[in-house]
Amino acid sequence: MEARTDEWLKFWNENQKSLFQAWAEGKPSPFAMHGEPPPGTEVMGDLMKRSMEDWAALAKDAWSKGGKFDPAAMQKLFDPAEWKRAGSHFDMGLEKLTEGPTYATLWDLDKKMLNTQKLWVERARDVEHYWEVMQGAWNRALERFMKQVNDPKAAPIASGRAMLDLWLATANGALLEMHRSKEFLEAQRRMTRSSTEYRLAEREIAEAFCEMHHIPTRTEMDEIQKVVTELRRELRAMNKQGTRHEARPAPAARAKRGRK
Amino acid sequence: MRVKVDPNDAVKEFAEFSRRMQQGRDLLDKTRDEDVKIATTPKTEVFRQDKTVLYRYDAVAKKKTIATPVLVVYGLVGRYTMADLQEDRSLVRNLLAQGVDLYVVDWGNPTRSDRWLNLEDYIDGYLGECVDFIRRQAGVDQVTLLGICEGGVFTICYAARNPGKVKSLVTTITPVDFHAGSKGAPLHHGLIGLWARSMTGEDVDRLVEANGNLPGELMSFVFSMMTPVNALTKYNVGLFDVMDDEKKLLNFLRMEKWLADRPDHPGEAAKQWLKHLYQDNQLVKGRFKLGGEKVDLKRITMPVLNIFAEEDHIVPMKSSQALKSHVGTRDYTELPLPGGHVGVFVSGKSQGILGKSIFGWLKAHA
Repeated sequence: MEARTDEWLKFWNENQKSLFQAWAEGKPSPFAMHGEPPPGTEVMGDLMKRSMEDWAALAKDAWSKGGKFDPAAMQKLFDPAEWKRAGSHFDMGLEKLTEGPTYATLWDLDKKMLNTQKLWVERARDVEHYWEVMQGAWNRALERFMKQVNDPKAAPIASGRAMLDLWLATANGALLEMHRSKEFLEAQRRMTRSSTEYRLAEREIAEAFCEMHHIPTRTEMDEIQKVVTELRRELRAMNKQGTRHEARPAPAARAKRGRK
Repeated sequence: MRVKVDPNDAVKEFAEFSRRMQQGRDLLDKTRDEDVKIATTPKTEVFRQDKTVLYRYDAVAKKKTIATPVLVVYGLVGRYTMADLQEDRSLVRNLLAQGVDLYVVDWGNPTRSDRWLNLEDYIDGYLGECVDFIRRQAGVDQVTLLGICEGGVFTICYAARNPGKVKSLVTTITPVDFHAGSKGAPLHHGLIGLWARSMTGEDVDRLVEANGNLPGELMSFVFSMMTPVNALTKYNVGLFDVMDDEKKLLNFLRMEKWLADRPDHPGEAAKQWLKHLYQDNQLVKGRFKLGGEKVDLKRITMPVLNIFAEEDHIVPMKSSQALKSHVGTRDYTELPLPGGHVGVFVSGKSQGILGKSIFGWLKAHA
């Protein structure tokens, strides 16, 4: 009887080994007699291979500390909760099997990055245009200065400082005219706006990473501050109301005064 | 060619340049941080709420000459320290010397956490709390408000909403009609209004959304647009011109210290300031609302002294003068002073006039 049981166990072990080996190598099941491997065999094989590696690593870890048995590691090895822990290869494999792509958020971060890149280009274009307008004013200033320096009817320039003062006054006038011009104001507005939009897009990306790494985002912090500000406002109003009530005489005192 | 430089004069000029550079270098070498300290008049913190701090200046005169305390209110674009730049250029010291009981409100340094504070918070909230504290501490029903620039608008709004608590109102270099004063004025006058109106309301909202507040650096840039060459050359030509005169050099450095200390303007308050006031000019149109109520300037029934600068390029004279036709009081006095926006407070010329004029008017209305 014992010999028969041993034989059966040996047979069962061999079959299991062949099955796992086949899965690990992505081959069809040794029990499959013929035809193509069933769908999912490859994925299952990959999963099996990685799970065996994980098990081997865990087992190695359990015996690693000076060759002694580590009960904590063994507990970890056999605790089903451990198998579900995020971050392990085994778990990631399972996740991939159970979760399909979420179409609503597909390429979300990539889209944000693309948008930021687009805004960066717009910002660069607006900054360039702003400097172009500025350069126009400097060119006008230089033209005027040269004209004044070469004016034979004007009083002579007798020192370096007088020349510098003339240049500075001329440049100041040209720059002020430019600062008041529609062209400059619009160029400045566009530069400020595109820099602002770029900064906001940059924030969206930063916030995506914050969310990924469990860090509060700027938007969340702003929301909290808003609540704090509103609470402070309410507290101030309540304190004010309290002070007003304190300042008013009590109803009994008012009645007494009325009878007099 | 107009340039006719005598070689001897050129050599002399170069020698003078070298002498000044050497002297200036020596002066800068021996200048220490404590030499350029500003706002040094002794004061004591008497009240604090969030970042707002109320100080009472230590009395220097033997006796109080005016019973009603005076509260100095600066705006959020800049710091109150301008009223006390240095010992010999200080409105604060001038008033204390005359026996005025003087307080000042410091809004602190707003950070992103203050982005939701609006003008109601500053005017009805913090300023209101300061006024009530002074009334309790001094045992008086009313205080005198002395507003500077944006702080002037704060005091105007507060006085209109709480006329019973304000004995008299002094406004200095304060914009009232935000669209006035550009026509026919020199090129650099009123540029800040043009800049504010060149943006759309949405531009302002997005700017504040991105930065939380209106960055102090941005406001410094806008101010520098009004005097572009001076802004570009002040650390070479400007500094060179004063570097061999210790008094002038220290004055220059203290002024730079004040200019560099430009806090961020809290976001929501900045939106109201730029959109409702600079863009829509709501204050003089009677449409400006605080706490859901219109600010009615006709409710300013207490005596008013309105001081403005004749060469003010930031707040054109006409913008300040508009107050006259909107207030409800007949006891209204105007005092135009020579100089520019900041010059009224810090120039040597105005020192003898500003403090004395305010004190004289306060005494007459005590």
